[in-house]
Amino acid sequence: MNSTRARLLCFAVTVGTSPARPAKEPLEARLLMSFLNLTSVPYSSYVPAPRTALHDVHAVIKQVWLLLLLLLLARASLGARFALAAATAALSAVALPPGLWRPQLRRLGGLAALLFVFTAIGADGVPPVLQPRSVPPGIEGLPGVSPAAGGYRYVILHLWLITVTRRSIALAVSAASLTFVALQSASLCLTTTPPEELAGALRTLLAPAGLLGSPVADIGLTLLLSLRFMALVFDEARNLALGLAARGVAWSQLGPGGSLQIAMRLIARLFANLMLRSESIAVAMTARGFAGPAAHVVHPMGDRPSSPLANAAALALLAGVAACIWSFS
Amino acid sequence: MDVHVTFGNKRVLRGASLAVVRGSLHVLLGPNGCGKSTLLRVLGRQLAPAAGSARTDGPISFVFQNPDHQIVMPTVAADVAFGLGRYTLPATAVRAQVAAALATVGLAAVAQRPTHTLSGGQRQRCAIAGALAQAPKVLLLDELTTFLDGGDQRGVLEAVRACVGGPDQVTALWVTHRLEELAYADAASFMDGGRVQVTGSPAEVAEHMRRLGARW
Repeated sequence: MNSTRARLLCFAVTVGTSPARPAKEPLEARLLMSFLNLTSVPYSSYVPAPRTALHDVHAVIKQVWLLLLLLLLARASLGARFALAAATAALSAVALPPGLWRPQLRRLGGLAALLFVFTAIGADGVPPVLQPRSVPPGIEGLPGVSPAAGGYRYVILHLWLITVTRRSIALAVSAASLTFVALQSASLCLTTTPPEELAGALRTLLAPAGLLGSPVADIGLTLLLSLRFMALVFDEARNLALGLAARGVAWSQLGPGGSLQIAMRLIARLFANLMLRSESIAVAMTARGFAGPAAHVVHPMGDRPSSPLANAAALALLAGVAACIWSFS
Repeated sequence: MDVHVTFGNKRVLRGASLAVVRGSLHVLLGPNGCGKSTLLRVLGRQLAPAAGSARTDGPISFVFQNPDHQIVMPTVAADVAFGLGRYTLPATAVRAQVAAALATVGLAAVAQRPTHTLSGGQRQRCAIAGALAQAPKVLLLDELTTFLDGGDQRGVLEAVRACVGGPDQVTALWVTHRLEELAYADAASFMDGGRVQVTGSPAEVAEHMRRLGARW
């Protein structure tokens, strides 16, 4: 008994003090594990509780907000673009539970930062080869251009191959803020609106196009089914990834070519499985009496109608933001 | 009566005959590939038999094995109302039907939840509520408890038991592999080789299966 305990103690001490560092996992294994560690759909789905002021705004007004935000961003100054992105982030923090907005903003902030850095470096950093950058011989001998008043410089940073200019910064802020606001505002809309109401609002807004023969009912139903089965697609992909992880593939021995081959097979399998599921869903929909989007009424079953006060406040705020951006642009 | 179904060269049903008492929960048991689900599809008019005929009360509602395929709306109440979309009904009538169906299966508290956040048993009960909202006379239930654990299995069985009979004389035909589910049945049948071999009380069918070597 004592010898067993001593052996266990010796093992524990050896394990505890082992200086050997674990070998670094191959990139493929790390990507697989990071996908498996996702606990929910990466993009947002409806969160009914806690109920916030945004839940009380009508879905049509939210969609008008989404559309106008993008138009206003295109017209806004750099400062206003940054302010709109910051306001969207602040609104997310106020409206959503911390467990939801923190990872969302972390991921999206990271993506926007990456986009900002690459655009800032790349937009003006690589001179076009065919465009002459030197002074034409015809104007050589002229006096040099005097420095701009107020310390204006077009090139903000020039470090070896890296060149950051005013133009590249403007482009980077536009790309990053547009991406951030477009994705995060859509996420806010999705998390605070039942999908049936979103689809209904889309049908309302597209109704004029229906007069011209556009398949408005089909578009509304497609949106609704996409929102319903987004989680199913994620689950299917996750199950396949789980199966792959359970097989303990030796990625380092496979090399990039082998890894790519496995990834392609996995994608093909994913699509095959999704097609099978689509067939089963179509059979079930038919069994439930579905005979086409035009002949089928989707009943929104929300338990609370939108609040007139929240709707008025949302419209007033939208008008105020639009007026500010219009006057300062 | 005397239903025959052939897929290619394979004869799946070879003269299957089954009579179910109106307003009862009838369990249909049998080994894999014996034709239980095919018979259910014939009764649900999803499959035309090569020979024989099927006669049932109407309307009929079908509940499939995998609720992920049957639930097509993103939120629970909207999904339960989905089957009513083919009728022209006032909103108040739809809400009343949905509320009654959700109360029957014990899901009234989660009416506004997104469907993908429900547990397996809750999803299956949501699918049953969707079928019930259409006020069916016949419920055809295809292996609903295959993917469920013991607790969810009991919840689904009790939900089905609560729908059967009543003033509307709702009849349920329940296809299953699980022999312990006979305890919830009013009557049962055992199928093998594309035919219904035995029909009787749950105790009689259980005794027949014991003689064949089944244990539970």
